[in-house]
Amino acid sequence: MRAGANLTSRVVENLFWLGRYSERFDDSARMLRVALSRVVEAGGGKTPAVASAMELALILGILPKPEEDTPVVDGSEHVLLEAIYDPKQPGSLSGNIRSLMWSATHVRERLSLDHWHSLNRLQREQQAAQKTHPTLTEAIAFLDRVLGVSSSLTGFAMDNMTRDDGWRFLIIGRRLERLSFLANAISNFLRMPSTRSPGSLEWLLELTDSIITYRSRYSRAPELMPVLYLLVFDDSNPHGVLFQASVLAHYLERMARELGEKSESNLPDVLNRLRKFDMEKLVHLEFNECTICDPCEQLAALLKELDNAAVQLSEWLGMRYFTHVGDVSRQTMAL
Amino acid sequence: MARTLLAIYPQSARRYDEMLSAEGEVRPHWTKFFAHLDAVAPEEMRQRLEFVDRRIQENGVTYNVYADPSGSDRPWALDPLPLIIAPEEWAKVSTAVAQRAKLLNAMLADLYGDQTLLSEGLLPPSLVFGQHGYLWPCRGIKPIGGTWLHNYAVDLARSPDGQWWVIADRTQAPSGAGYALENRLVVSQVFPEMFRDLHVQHLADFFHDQQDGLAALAPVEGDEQPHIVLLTPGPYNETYFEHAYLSRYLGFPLVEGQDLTVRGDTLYLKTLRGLERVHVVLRRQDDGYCDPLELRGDSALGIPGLLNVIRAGRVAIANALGSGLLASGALMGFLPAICRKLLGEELAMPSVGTWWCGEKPALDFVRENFNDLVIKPAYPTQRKDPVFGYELKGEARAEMLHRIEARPHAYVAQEMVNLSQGPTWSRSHERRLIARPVGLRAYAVATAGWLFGDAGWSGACCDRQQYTHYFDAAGRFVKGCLGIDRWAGERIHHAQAVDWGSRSGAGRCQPDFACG
Repeated sequence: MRAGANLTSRVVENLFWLGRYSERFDDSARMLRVALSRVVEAGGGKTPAVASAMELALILGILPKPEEDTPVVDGSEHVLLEAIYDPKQPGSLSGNIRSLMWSATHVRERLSLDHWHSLNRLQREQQAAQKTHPTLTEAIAFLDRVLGVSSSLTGFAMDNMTRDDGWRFLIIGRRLERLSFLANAISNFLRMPSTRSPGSLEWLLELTDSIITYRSRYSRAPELMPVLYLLVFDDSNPHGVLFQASVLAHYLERMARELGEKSESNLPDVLNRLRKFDMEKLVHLEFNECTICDPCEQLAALLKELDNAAVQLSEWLGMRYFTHVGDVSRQTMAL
Repeated sequence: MARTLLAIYPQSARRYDEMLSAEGEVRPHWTKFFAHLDAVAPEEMRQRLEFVDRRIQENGVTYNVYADPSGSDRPWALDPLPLIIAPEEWAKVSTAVAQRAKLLNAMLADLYGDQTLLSEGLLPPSLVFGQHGYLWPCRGIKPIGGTWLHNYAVDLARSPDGQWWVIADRTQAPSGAGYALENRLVVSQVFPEMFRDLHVQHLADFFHDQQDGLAALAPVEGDEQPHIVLLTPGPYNETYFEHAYLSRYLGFPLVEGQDLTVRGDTLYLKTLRGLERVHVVLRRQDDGYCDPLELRGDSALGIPGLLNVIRAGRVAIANALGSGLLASGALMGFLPAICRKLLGEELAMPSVGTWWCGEKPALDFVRENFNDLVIKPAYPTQRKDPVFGYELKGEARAEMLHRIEARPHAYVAQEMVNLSQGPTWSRSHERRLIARPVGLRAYAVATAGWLFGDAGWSGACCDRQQYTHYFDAAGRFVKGCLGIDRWAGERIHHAQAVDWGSRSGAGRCQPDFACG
């Protein structure tokens, strides 16, 4: 009997979502930390960096969308704190942690004790934080700790779990979530006029945890082309778009080989077009002076397509391996 | 040698003693064990107790594998002493249990089929249709092999004259067999030499019977292997530990409702490698929750369309959906006549005196004899605790009576039985036996050839007098190890979990009755 032949879809689905949620809360924590630290730096003022970071967080659904009938409250503080601590807020960090715990509970017998302890620490951090009314500085410290736990979770996933089908779905979940986040974030970043102000490329590098690489490689202030190269095209950057996509493609291929079904995804196609994108077009662009120009728009559109392909892939995985919708349609036709 | 353990053993004139005869002599089937026990040095006994505690502690670890949402752990004290029952007596008990299982199976077939019991007046329709346990959508279904009741458990008590009585029937998804197995493994290691000398039959046979019985029903096609799964409501269920334990022991995959799916008229398990057909579902989930399409619509645990697969005869459910109906205590009074009618024989073991308040004369009787009765909900779906008549005074009593009169059909009254007592080992003394009330849960399982193999079960020994107190409203037997947190104020000191069949004669094998 092949290993993993007895894995039920429910277990695999929960592993997949464990992967997605652990990446998702990492992404939102980074986005919120970027915005929060910009707000703290600005000392309450609204600098262009604050404005652009908040705008992207809002577009990505990490900040709650202001409802039409509620009066706009000035200042970003409480919106940010809400997005961190309020579990009822859709897309909030707390909500993501909760979903993460939910998936983890269902696959608990597959996680090592240390792995489980890390998850528990995360939940305790969150519960402890909810009881007090944290200041912005405390919130940043909280995010630092959360990201610390997040990296330990990544470590457990990479180094403590047996490489079976279930594990591959966990990793696929992580890569897929990160791919979708990066593609979506960078695409919107390129399309937002507010990012053309100073300081934006810095926080984009911070958001993608690539600032150290950038500095050591280029030793100069961020410029559009090298930043995009690092974040999109450099396939040695674990926070880069192409890196996620190629890891994802690798596992999908392996799964197709072992589980005997090729994914009906247009991911490879979009990926090919992205690889062929001519970086030269961006060389002479001064990002600050660029009003959303053609090359920027083209790249943004490609990245958006990539994001869509990732979402579709997730749906397909769900239907094919978790709910087995494909099987029923075939069956109905056979009947 | 210190004085014998009997010197300070509290024999009671009001109770039957499992170990001692009325004259204070050790009963023949206990002599060997008692002699051994009497000879064990206190130091060694202490070590054995520590062994039990350590094993329980380790079991506690398995309890805690799944986070308890309420954070309450379950104290579980296992007494190291077995309860020994003579083989000839056990033979009688097991025959009676098997007869009862057969009877209840026949009743289910009738009530979901021709309903002759109703048309001939052997059962009041209001008793059957008045409860949620009767699942209308299951009417007319004929389960595979005509078997409704694959697993049956019955709670027994012994009155002062030595007679066994049925206190309650468990027909839904009886729990406890897994715990029994585990307790047996612990206790057999405490007295390994006795376990060998008394020729206690191994529990494995009971579980083999269950495996074979279920496999025989699997509606396989072609060269399909029977695929049997164990359906659990999930980690939040209080007996989840047992489900996981049994699933490993029996080799049936442990699945939740969302693992299964109905396509066409076939039930499948969803796995990574595709859909795998399921032939038999051993369910540990209440029947009402099994199919949100036709039964409880609010069930998130069910499998939509399951009933259709059952109707098509393409899956066997153990126990069949709808079987929870017969766990109602209100039926007990009607069983003797039904037994004569359906099986053509007398009911072998009497049920404890039970009055269903839905009948006028019974209600009058209950009103007059309130002090001597235990008031219980009539249907297992009602989540209410039993109430002792003599404990209710003044307003509380008036209110209770008022409630009964408002909905008489929802209540039964049972007479209180003075339970028998058996020895347990005192933990607070150097070397002493304490007498505790004894109850017994016996299991029957439908075997491949429609024979009932049966296995016995230990009872819980409690420091409360009335046995009936140890059933909660849902009809679950409250054992020391599980469910105790549902019983505020009740502390069961000892769950004595293993019955040993002693073999008195030579060469004859003791029927296994310790499925504890």
